[in-house]
Amino acid sequence: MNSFEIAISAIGIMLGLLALRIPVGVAMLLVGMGGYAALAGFGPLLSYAKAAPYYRFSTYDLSVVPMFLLMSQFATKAGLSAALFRSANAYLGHRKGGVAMAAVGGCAGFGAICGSSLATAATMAQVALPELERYKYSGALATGALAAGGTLGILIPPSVVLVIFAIAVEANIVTMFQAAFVPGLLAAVGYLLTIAIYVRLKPEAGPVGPKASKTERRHALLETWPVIVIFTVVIGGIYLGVFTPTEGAAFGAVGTGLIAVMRGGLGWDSFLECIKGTASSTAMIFLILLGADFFNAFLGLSRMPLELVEVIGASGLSPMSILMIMLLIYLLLGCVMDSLAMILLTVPIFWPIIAGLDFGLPEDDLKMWFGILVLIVVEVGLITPPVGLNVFVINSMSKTVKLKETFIGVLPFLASDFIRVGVLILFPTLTLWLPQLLK
Amino acid sequence: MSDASQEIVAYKNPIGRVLYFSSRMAAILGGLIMTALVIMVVVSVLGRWLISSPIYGDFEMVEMGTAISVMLFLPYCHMNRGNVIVDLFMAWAPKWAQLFFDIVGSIALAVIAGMLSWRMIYGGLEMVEYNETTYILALPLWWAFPFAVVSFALLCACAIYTAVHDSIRMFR
Repeated sequence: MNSFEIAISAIGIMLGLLALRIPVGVAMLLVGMGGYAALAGFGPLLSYAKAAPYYRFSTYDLSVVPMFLLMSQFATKAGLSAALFRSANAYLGHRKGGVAMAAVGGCAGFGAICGSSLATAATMAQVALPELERYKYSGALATGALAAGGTLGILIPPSVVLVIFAIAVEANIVTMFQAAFVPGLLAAVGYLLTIAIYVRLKPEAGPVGPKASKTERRHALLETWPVIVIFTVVIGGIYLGVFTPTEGAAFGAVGTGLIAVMRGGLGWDSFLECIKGTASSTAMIFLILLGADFFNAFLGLSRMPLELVEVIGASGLSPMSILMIMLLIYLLLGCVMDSLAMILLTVPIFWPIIAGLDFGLPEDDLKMWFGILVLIVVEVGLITPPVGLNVFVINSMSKTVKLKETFIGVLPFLASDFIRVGVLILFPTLTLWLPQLLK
Repeated sequence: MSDASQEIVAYKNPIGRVLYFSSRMAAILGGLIMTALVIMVVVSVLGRWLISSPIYGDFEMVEMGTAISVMLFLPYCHMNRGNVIVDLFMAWAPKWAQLFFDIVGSIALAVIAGMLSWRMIYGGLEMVEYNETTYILALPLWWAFPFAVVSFALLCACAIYTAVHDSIRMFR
């Protein structure tokens, strides 16, 4: 076997291991180490292993990940989700479907200080679900809006998945965050429009909520000041280059932590809980990162990605159709796999291919454009069957709604996701506008 | 992200309880280090803004501190079965088959973690021998390696334990 064949069979073996429930990080480590030893011998593998984990884990850019996770943990304890929902409800509640719109608006606000989709969906559901039930919203609309709204947590910066993508393609995290801003806003607006159309077709699904007076609105908005301040400082500071993403994340973690303490949500016990939650999600991500490190070392040795670029270049397929095929693969993988794992698994192979094609964009712009598209399609996996995690989490929080209803409820939001992907493919400017403006 | 899917597994056996306790303590220590790091960074940035004197070499402490705390997090995540799996194709398989491949995964992790723990002893010794330090603060790089060796050794022990734990469940 030549090294190209070894690499292809190694990928086959890895997919097999994954299907057999071997943890993603372990499968990547196993195949990466095995392949490395097969190509270079055991001696080099053993000497590579002497310091590889240290160098992988001590990358400065990666330190932003545990810090954002800590920030997300504190954010869920700060009781801000209630304030966000009340404020969105004061402005949107009196419309048809308004309470569901408020839930999406609340998710968008919470997503601005929390980089995790599940945490956003779950935290917002705690406050929004009882209200949605009180106003007799249909189970499908109520749970569908929350499950879809949760994905805003990842689309709107800060986003852990986006950080990982940026590191995988060696892009600048700052410009990546800038690129995500407009698509994130589009997502939120798209979901609101989806609800508006939904209740026009099925008025009984989303009755009118409470009407708030002007002073009530202002008071409700003022209640959300911590979110506004934290988002402005953290994301504004990162966007304008006032500090690095890591420094921004540290400010975010300390800021949300202080607010949680001030609001009485963070004592010693819940602090320990936050730490343990951070430990679990960080370890989960970094074990896969370590696996990706060995796997990439092996792929690099095999030169398979480079040869694949040539094969695909010679195939005569147009760049656009190759992009479509890749996005489709992400969509399918997303149905069975975690988004981070998927990105770390595929990007080392997919990115060189995309970089070798002519989309009429310079490489840095291409990274942002492709990254945002990937980010959206992998997040779609969180709300599609069979393993749409958001759907399961929201559904389990609501006692009366059947799982099937929730899956039906997210369908209109999926349609909005697909339309948005199409728009972003056709108009790269939407993604690239803010990074160019702030350059 | 599947951060909400963590289930707390009940370990009734004394060895399991000791390992679970140790992994939890390691995670808490790592979390305290991470908390200290974020506070240090904030103080450093405020110092840079207000009195234009940041903490000297703060990013080197962030790098080393992150590496140490991440390694301390690993055993806890495994003990909670928090690692990402693709749970679709085996979802309809009988329980014993699921357990069988969980055992295979645990054994693989034990071998990998054991190997890394063993190799990083030499990695650390080389750092001492060549006197490798960070550029600004001249922090010896080997400082992180005892944490690495112990964390991977604990991860190895935890993985062996879960393999045995699941084997007993499989044959019952």
